[in-house]
Amino acid sequence: MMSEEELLKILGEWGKVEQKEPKDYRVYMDKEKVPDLVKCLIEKVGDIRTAAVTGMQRNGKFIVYYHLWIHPLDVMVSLVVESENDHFPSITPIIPGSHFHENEAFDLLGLKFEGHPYLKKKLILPEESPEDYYPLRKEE
Amino acid sequence: MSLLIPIGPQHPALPEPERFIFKVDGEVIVDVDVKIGFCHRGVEKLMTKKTYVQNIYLSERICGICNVAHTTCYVQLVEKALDLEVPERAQFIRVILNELARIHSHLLIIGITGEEIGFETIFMYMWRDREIVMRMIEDITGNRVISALNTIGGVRRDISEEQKERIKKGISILRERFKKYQEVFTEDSTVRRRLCERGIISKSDAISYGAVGPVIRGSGVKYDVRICYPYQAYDRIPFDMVIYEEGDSLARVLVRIGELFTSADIIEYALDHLPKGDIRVPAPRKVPENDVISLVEAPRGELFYHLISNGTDRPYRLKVKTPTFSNIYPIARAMIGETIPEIPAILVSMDPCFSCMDRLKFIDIRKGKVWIWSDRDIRRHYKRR
Repeated sequence: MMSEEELLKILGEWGKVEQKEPKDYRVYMDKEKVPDLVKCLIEKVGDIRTAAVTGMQRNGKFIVYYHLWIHPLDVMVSLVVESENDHFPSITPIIPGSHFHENEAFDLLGLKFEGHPYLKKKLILPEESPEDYYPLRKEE
Repeated sequence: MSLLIPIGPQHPALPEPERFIFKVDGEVIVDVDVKIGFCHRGVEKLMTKKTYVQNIYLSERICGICNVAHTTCYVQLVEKALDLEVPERAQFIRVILNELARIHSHLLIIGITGEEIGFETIFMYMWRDREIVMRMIEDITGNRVISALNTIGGVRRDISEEQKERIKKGISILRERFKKYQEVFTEDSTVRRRLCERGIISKSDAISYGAVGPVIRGSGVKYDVRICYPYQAYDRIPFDMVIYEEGDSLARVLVRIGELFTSADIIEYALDHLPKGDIRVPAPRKVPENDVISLVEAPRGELFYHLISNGTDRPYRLKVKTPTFSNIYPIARAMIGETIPEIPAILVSMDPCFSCMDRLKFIDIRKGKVWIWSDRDIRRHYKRR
């Protein structure tokens, strides 16, 4: 089985790795590379569970955190990506459990996850709420 | 009628009542569509408008049953961002309260499982025993449901020697009852017939569909936040993770029953080893710029908080992910291939809220017929059979 050092070496090839706490890492990387990294991790390390997806808006930019729990090593890895526009790659085709997490961010922040097979509006917001209404967007 | 909104009593347990749309072929479910968010109250947005201290009480009101888990997760998050060391005694008191809350939550859902499979006597027994725990919580915190014990930097009330004795006495009564319930759920043939090999989730599906808590442990995955990412005093308390490999509804119920015993052990150990000292340290009002996550094992599974602070006295962004949000999808997948009368038993094995079952819509793909049933209709239907 792979050790935590080997995992960090793989992560280091894809972006800047920062350790927040024991067994809790952040990887700052390009948004286009996210699905490839997830595929690579599943191939080399094992099963992955999506713990959460945090979307936010800061200084006019959109930021998405994909919090992934790597099962064989029991490590939490958060992939942090930044973008000028609201388009992000979806990891639902690779990890089906990301479905609701990404859909929530789409509903509340209007982040468009490209490649998401069942992305639908009004998963969380009431069906009669206005179109293009994203409650978590900051008014800057 | 295209709009289907459950108008009924909303169970206070979870922020996520759901609507399930089942596509059926005769009796067999072939597809499930889920709509959630009927109870969405915009807490994440509201939290960015309130101060860190006000948010303790807001996070407590996200969920009635898991209110202790929510405040523990929230105060732990802020303490991490502040880099604040909490006194040991406060950490142990938090553990005791968390485990008491776990016992009453598990007793409730085990009773409801009994009710859903037509075994209503067990529900009444559970209700009686749950009262013992509720009184213990009232004894410690002064409140039965919303405990308001956790605060940033520690806890608000101490546990006295007399209270210790009263809790120990209550736990010893409960432990005898737990043995009885374990016997019922492992040996009763009616229970086995309704729960065994129903709603199976395999090990790899449980991970990739994102299950948490008793659902993932019932599928044989070793994931318990209390052991994997120890918080508060859990790293100083010895206990074992409860794992069942089967992945069916019965396994999920048995995980909960097993956890009743571990919770009782944890409470007794924590009371015996309660360190002396302060219960609270003062905390600054402003939180420096930081980006932290906090995990807590709520009764239903992993609770996830993510804070991005910006140096003011209000959070910049606070993300809350509750356990049921993770568990809906795997359970919805597990129902494919099962029959209509099994829906309540499988749904309840996930530990959801009642309003989930408020209204179900059926589409028969052969006849092209659409009809709507409430939870009561389903029960009436299968009792007739």
